[in-house]
Amino acid sequence: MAVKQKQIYCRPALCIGCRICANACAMAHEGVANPRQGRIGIRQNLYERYEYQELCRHCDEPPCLDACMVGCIEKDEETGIVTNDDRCVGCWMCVMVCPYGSMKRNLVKQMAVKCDQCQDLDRPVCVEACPTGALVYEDREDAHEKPFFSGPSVT
Amino acid sequence: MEYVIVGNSAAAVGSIESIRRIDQNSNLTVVSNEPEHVYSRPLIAHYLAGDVEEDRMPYRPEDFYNKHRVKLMLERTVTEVDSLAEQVCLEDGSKLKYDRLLLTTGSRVNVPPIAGCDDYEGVGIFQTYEDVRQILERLKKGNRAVVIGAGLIGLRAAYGLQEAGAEVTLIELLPRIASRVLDQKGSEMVKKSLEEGGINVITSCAVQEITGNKTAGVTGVTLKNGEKIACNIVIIATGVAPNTTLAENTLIEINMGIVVNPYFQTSFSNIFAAGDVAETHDIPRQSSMVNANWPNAYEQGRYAGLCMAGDMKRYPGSVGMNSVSFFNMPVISMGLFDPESEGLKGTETKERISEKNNLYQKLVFKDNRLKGAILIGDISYAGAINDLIREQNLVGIIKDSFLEEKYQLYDYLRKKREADLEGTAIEWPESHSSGRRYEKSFNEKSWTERELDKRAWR
Repeated sequence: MAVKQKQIYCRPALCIGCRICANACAMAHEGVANPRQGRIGIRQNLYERYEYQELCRHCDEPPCLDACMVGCIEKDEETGIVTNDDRCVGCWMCVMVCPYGSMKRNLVKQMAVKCDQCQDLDRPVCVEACPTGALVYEDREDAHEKPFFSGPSVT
Repeated sequence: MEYVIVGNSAAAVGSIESIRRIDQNSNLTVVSNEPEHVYSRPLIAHYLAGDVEEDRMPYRPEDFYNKHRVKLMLERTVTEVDSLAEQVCLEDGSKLKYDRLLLTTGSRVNVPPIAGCDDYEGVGIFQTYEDVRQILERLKKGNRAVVIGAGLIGLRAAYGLQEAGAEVTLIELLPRIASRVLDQKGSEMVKKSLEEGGINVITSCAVQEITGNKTAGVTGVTLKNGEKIACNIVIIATGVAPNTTLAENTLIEINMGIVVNPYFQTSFSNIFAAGDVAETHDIPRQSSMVNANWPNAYEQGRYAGLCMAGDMKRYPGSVGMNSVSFFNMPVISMGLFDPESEGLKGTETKERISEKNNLYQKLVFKDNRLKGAILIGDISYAGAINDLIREQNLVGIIKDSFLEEKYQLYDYLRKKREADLEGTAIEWPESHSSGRRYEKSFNEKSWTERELDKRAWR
């Protein structure tokens, strides 16, 4: 059933944790320059010095879709993109079940927000904005799970 | 093939969607005793509060049933399941043949034996759309309300009534509120937040009598200690039980709910049950239990639908979880969060509490596995914690500094992803839980290489 779809992938060796992607996302979706409101999240582990990217995987069987009690999370059958619309009442059920931390709370609107891969644009703004080219938007053979954190290493 | 689904809520919708994914041609019939298009039961509190309008209530779009080619029978009640003749009897005597039957009848409200609770207008339960319409109608005549029972439904009802402009009194028999979903400290914090929001909370008090008259309906509530509270709405929310009425006089096995196997089959292999009525495997407790909430119901419905259509996919089990938000204070509880009240030995508890910031986090471990959690205030890591409970991974390393140093969760998520890649389970060595900071990196070698060769310390 898996839809072959273009996804946002991260090449972790290239990520420097600058959060420009999150800022661009917040600018595009919320109109504010605040990386904390971005739908992509970058968490840093300062002790071991690596970054963890909270990317939405647009899962085949999205747990957020299961959990949403309003029914406002939908998976598009053709593109495979999981979207959330503004009927959300802020019960945070989806935040509770997403194992990747990619459902974000927007406390201004009291709504859950999530990555929609910038459907109107050719490429998502986070990919456009990434200064090191760590984020890529491409079609990979195995679209889900496996290649998210594997990529060509830097030499 | 004839599929018949009894009930029309989360589990039914999940099963319709997954049946139609596999089987496009068979007949699918949904029998429901409610007149509405499928709507979200937990949302009725928001509807009462005025957060959502009527047009936002449907759970699925208007054309959902047409699109999935479902024959819908609304306002019809199933009276009997004849498992030998493979048919269900409706209330008007007509019969419906099935090849696969799914029971998603949900819960029923337990109404306690309080004097006068059936006699007067204005006394009701808080379960369906119709109940809320009656409450809204009743609110026009006066705005004093009493909610009996401070479980999750009672709290939601009280919150909705408060937002709708009523003066609400919440009465609980037990010494603390929400005892099924929160522990002592958590329920104190929620109680405080409710009282700050303007709801009057009375605990350790039973209701003696509901008073009223024929013309005006209910006029008040008398407590056991003699106190009288004037009101014109009474909502009884003293708890729910699985609605197993249909299975009661048949050979279907019932314990707490209808007992099902991991493929949602009941005692008969062509009768399935899912949702709040089904008793499934509970992951943190490792026993069978009824976990009645919306996400589990939908997920169970989805799995049951697959099994009904022939794709026997084993259900891993459910975790009891709840997420509510009162006056901008998010509250999440998951799994086995209060081992003391369940009399469980050998558990270990980690807490982080800050009364000032309305923050309370608690994790319960047993046998080096995460069994349950309560998160109040800060819930941003709830997904990872839920995943840890669901997978029952060993958590030796991260146990000690889990709540203070959140990056440990990302270590976990990263490690999990690597393990998924290799197809192995994660084993956290016990020796790392000795209290010292975890120093070893997951891929230390590559990091050392990177540090030495390419990059300077930021």
